[in-house]
Amino acid sequence: MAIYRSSDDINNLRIRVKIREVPDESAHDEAKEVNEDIDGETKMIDWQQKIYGKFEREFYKDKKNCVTDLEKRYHQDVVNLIQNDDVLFTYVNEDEFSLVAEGCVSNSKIITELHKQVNNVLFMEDEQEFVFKNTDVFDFKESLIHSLKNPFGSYNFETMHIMADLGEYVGDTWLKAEYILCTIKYDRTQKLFIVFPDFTSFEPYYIQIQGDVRRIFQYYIENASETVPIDALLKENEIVNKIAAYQAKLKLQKTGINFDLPSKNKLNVYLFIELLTARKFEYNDIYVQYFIDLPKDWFCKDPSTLKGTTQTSHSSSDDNLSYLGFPFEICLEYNIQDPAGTHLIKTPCIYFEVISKDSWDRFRTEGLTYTILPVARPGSYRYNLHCLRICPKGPYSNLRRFFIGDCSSYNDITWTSVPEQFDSKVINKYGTDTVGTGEISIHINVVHQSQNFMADTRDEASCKHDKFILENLNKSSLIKSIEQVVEAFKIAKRKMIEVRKNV
Amino acid sequence: MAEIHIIGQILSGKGFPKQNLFCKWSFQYGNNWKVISGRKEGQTQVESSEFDDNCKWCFPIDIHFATRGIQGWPKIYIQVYHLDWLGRSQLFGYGFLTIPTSPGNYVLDCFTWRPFGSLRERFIQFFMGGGPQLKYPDLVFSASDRYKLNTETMGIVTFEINVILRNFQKFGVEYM
Repeated sequence: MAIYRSSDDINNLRIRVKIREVPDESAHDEAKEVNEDIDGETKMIDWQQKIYGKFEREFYKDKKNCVTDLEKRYHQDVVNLIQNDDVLFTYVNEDEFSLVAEGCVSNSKIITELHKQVNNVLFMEDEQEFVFKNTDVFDFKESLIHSLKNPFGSYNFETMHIMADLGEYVGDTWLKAEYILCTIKYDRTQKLFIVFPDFTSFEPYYIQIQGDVRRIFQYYIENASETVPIDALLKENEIVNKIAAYQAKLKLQKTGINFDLPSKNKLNVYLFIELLTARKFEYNDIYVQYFIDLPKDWFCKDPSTLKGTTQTSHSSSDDNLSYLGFPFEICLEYNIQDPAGTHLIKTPCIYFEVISKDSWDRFRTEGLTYTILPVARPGSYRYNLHCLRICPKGPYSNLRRFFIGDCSSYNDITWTSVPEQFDSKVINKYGTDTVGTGEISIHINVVHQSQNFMADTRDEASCKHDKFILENLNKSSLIKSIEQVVEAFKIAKRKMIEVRKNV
Repeated sequence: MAEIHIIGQILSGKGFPKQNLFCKWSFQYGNNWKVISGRKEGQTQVESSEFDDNCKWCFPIDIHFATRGIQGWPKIYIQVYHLDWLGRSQLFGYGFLTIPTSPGNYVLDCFTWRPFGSLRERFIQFFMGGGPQLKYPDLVFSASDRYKLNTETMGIVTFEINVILRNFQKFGVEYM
C-alpha cells in the first residue's frame, strides 16, 4: 500500500497495467503450450475510466437488466462497443463495488457483542437514509455514526478498482473469476491518493488460481501519467512565487513595518507583573497595595502606574487563601550614560502592603514585604513572598489593633528592605518587634528593548543568553560614547565655520 | 512589525462551588496590536465533571497578532458562568491573565473572583441565585480602578498556552 499526495488534478493520473499468464514451472509441459498463445495484455487506464469486463458486457447488453440511469448509460456504451477478449476491466466509483475485507471490519469468525451493536446501528441508519448534517450544533448520535462509517477519520474517498476477469468458458457460458489487481482511492479535499498494492517496482505481482489446472498470472502496475514539461513547470513555479510575494505584500500592508523604539541610549524595561494569591493572613477580606521605588537613573513615563491597589478579596477557605488575579504593566526607562561602566546599576524595588478591611471598615496591616525587580535579565519569574508585620510592644497596641485597627503603623515602607535614608555601614533593625504573617505569590514577565541590542551583531546571539544586562550595555555604550564624541566634534566644527564666515 | 502566535487551550476550571460551568473569553490588547488571523473571543461549552470538581473544557485558542510596540501585551479576560437547572446563567468569576512574554509552552493558572455583595444581597443570592455583576467590565482591565471592588475568591481556570514570537529581535527586544 502506498499513499501519495499530489497537488495536481487527479484526472491527469494514468496507469499502465500489464498482465500476462506465465507458465507454471511445476506443471506439465502440455500446460505450457496452451499458455503460450496468450500474449500479455497492456492497457492504459485513466482515472475513473470505465472499461467493461466480459461479464458486464453481456449483462448490460440485455436491456432488461438495465433499470437505473447508470445502467442505461452502460447499456448504450456496451452496444456501441467492439467485442474483444480483454481480461482487464475496471470498477469505478459509481459502481459501488466494495470489498468485505476492506477497512477495519475484521473478517475473523469471532463476532463480539460490540460488533453486533455497531452493525445494528449502521443497519438502522441505512434504513432511515441517514444524511450527515453539517450544522454547528454538536449531536452525539450523528457524530458517533459518522465516525463508525468513516473509521479512518474524515476522509471522503472516491475509489476505482482495476480488475481482471480470469474466468473460463465452460461450454458456452463464461464463468467469471474476478480478481482485483489494484485499488486506487482518492480524497479530493485532502489531495491524497492511496494505491493498493503500490506501483510495481522490480518484481511483478502474481495471482494464482487454483482450479483443475493451476494458473499463474503476473502483472505490473505502472504510473504512466504524463510528466509536466519543464517550461510549464518553471512557469508554474514563477506564478506560485508571484502569488507568495503578493500575499507577503498584502500582509505587510496590513501590518506595516514600524515598531516603537526607545530613544538612543535608553533601555526600556517592560514589566508585566501579576499579583496571584495571598494566603495565611490573620483576618479575612484583604487587599494589597503595591509601590515601586525607582532609584537614580530610572524613569517611568507614567508615574501613576508605579503604585496601585487591588480589589478587596474575601476568602472562604481554611487558610484564608484569596485570589487576587491582578495583572498590571509598567514601562521603566534606564539611561545608559555611563561609558566606563564604573558604578553598579541600582535596581528598583517593589514593596507590598497587605491590608485587611472588615465589615466595620476597620483597616489592619496584615503584612509588609518587598522584592527586587528582576530587571537584570528578561524572562519569566515567580515569587512567593513571605510577609512580616511590625508589632509594637505592650498590650495597648494589641488592643488597639483588635478594636480599632492599626493601618499604617509605620513611617516608611522601605524600612522592610534597605531604608531610604540609610547611609551607615551596617543595617541595624534591632529593637523592632515583627511578626511573620502570610505570604503572597506574584509572577513577573520582563522584556528589554534597546537600540543597542539592535546594533549588536546577531551571530553572538547564542552566547548572549549567558550575559547580563551590564555586559551587554557596557560594550555597546562604549561605542555610543565614541559616537557622541564624533557628533560633538562635528557640531563644534560647523560652529567654527559659521563663525569664520561672519568674520 | 513583530508578530506573535498564541496557540493553546482553556484546559479546565476547578475550585468553583458548583459544576455546570462555561467560560467566556476574549483577548485584551493595546492600540498597537492587531489581530491578523484567528478568533479573539469565544465561549466554551457547558461542562460538568462526573468524577471531581474539575470541569475540563479543552477549548482551543489560536490567534496571530502583529504589533507596533510592546505596550499592551495581550491578556486573556475570562468570565466564568454557572448554568443552573432552570437554565439561568449566573456569574461565577472574572479573571485576567497576562500572556507570557517569552516563547515556549506554559501551563498557566488564572485566579478568578466575583463581586461580593452586602449581607442582604448574599442572603438573596443564597436562595434565589444570581448575584452582583460588574456593570462596567472594563473595571477589570484598569489597575487603577479596581480598589473600589469587594470581591470573593472563586476558582482557578487553567490554560495551556504556546507562545511563538517573530521579528522581535529585529527591533532590539530581548525576551529571554
